[in-house]
Amino acid sequence: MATTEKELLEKVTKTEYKYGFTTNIESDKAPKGLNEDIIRLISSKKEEPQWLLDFRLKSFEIWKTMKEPNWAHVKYPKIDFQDLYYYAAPKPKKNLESLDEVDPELLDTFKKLGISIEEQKRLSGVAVDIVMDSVSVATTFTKTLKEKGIIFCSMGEAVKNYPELIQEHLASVVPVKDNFYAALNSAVFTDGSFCYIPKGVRCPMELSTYFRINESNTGQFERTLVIADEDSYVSYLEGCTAPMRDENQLHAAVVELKAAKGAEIKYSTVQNWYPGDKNGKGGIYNFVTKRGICEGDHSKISWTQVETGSAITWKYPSCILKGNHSIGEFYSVAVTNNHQQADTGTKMIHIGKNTKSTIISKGVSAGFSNNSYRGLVRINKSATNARNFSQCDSLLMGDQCGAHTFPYIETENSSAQVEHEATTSKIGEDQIFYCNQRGIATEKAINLIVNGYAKEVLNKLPMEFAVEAQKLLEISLEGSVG
Amino acid sequence: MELTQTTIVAKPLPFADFVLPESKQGQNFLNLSFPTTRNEYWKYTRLGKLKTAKLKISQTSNITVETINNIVAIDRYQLVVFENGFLRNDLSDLTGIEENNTLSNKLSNEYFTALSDASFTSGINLKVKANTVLTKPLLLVNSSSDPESISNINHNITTQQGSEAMVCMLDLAAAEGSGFLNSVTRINAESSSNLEIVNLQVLGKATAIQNIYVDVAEDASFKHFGFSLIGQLTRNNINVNLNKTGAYAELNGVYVPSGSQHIDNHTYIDHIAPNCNSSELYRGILSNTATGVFNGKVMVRQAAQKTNAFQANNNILLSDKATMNSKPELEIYADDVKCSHGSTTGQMDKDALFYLQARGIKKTAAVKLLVTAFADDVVSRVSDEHLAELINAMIEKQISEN
Repeated sequence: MATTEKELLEKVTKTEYKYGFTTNIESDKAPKGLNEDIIRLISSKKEEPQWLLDFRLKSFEIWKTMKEPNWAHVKYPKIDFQDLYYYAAPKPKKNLESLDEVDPELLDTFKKLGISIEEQKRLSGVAVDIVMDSVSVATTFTKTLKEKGIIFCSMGEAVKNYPELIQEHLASVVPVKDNFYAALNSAVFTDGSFCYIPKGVRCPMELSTYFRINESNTGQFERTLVIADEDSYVSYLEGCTAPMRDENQLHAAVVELKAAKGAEIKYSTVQNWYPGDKNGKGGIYNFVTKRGICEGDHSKISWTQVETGSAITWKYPSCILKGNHSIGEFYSVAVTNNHQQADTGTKMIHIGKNTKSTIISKGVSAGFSNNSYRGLVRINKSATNARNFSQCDSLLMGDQCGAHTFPYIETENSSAQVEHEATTSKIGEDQIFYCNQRGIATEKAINLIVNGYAKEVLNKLPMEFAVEAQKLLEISLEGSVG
Repeated sequence: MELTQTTIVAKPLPFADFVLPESKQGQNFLNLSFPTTRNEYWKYTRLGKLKTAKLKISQTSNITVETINNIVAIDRYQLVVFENGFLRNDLSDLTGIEENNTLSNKLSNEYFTALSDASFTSGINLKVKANTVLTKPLLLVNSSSDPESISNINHNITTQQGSEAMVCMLDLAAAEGSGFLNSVTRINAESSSNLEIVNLQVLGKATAIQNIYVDVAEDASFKHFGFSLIGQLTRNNINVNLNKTGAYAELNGVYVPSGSQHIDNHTYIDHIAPNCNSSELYRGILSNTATGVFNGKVMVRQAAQKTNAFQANNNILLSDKATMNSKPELEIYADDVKCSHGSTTGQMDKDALFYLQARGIKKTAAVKLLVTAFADDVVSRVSDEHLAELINAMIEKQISEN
């Protein structure tokens, strides 16, 4: 048994990053470093109005006074923020009417990723807003959405076309001062997506954005804002893959969700950025601030994430349950292998009456990786009859990895019911034996068990993603056993 | 702006007057800074009042045998009493026990441990000889009788190979007294020994900070019960190292803060060796504007395969103004382990309450019954039945008063 285990482990660690390639598209880069001039440059390149430039400069001032957070259970060399590129845009910047005008090399890239835009356009009815190094290149299905009154466009376009909406909502959920990386993002965000669902509209398709970090050494600073007006519904998909690079790349995105009375936002993420090679060299630093607010009564925000990539993940999609009867959900599968480090979890802040939240977090660690769940459930005095259920399970594969749980549970209301449970274990030898006995090879058995273990979360993903997510789990872990 | 002449007076460090500045323990303490809520370890416990409190060392003899006897019947125990940090020779039976009067060699970076190490006045050295059983359990009383006194106490307890002992620690503040009790207990459970400690805290308006450090050797078992019944500000830190194969640790507690009391329990179990088990059960019943804190951390080192660790924290909030902060943590570096924790905070089971009321039991009596039963899951684990009964009665009394 021992030798086969070793072989299997070796095999897993040798599974190279499948999506490692670089696209040779000419890139328009600003010089390295961060100062007011760079911010002015970004702003002028994007032809931004004065108020946005002021917002950026103010954020930059705030950022300069802040310190990098160091409480997460991750280790990495200090980032030199002056040694990064803060702006890079693919060169051919024409307004594109159809996909034919898109650089064929870019289209080829998407094919390698298994995302055929034409396919998706025709078959799945997914409108894809492709973000390639910070600038949107193609937006599809806008017309169909327009008929419904849904706005789905890049942040840059939104600033030009709907300035009053952006001015009202930008940084209203994640204030500039919120944290170090949110302030940095506010100062230098290059692009992102904006989505507005008007009153009573049910978005007919899954809105989807594919992110890629392409240019070496460019921090990617995405800004996403999703606003669901009264009684509307939207399902938003975010998926990411990035090419193989040796130097660590910084990604500090901010995602803000706002749900008005009776609205529902479902936000799903599949994150598969380059995790570094098997010695822990390279890989993406993913420091993301994601937060949603259930402002109105009976509103709902649901986060689903499958995290398999990035050298370091530092991410806590949160829900502020302000409206009475509002619901927050968090479903997560985080897989770490080799030298990956993940510190992820959620915050559920109960403010309104009869608010409910559910947290299901499944961690899988293999190789030399460390996987932490860090979460906060807070029941304020005003949150009468609040209800929370949290379950955080960890699966360990190999004796060199770590799985950690750091939940914070703060209850200030006696009518609240808060439950938290966590378990840590490995795949049982008896489980493997049972499968072997029935003619299932060890490697397949492990896939089976991990998939079953993560099923609760995978089931919450939209169909298009569920398939991809399952594949990702297999690539990340196949055959790993401790 | 007009310049005015000011004299800058360096703020004295809290407690600096009590330490021996020339000793290495004193130096160690003076290098540490007073913990604030910005410090993760003290996130939920504010010590502002303690920082500015005017305290003194005071040697008095106010505690009587009756005071103690009113809480725990002393005839079943070997009694050792400390008042304001000083040994009360007249009340104590020191058979087989030495008074501890040497500074500990271990330099701690925990503020209050370092304080006690650098300035302690007294304590006991108890060594339970190999393959013997302590026939009469020890009743160790740490009391404070002066509202302005500071008591720094250091105890050392060793159970030698194959021995067995039970110690009841009573932390007591005389009715009108408050003061500050700062105690450190270092425990060494040698191989195949069994040690059970039952800690009763009846601390009135006093502030109490307790640090317990335990080393558990091969096949040894350590059980600790903490019953925090009354205490304006109580903080218990229990740190257990499971050093060798087969070591076992069980930490249990019930805290019943009421009024504006604050009770904080921190536990840390370090699984260093393989094949060790640990179990924790802490239950809280909070009323009025009381706050409770539970932070339990289980660390499983890479070598500690086949670890079995379980931790549960359940809380009942009886009032809308009470607050409970719970933080169960797992940090695991070995794969062949079974570790789990659970934490719940809620209210009384409405169905159970209704069931009792439907059978003619008054609501107040029903609540008392249910809460006592809730606590009894912990209390019934105490091996000494007399003591368990006594604790149950104390908890019941505490609840009916609120």
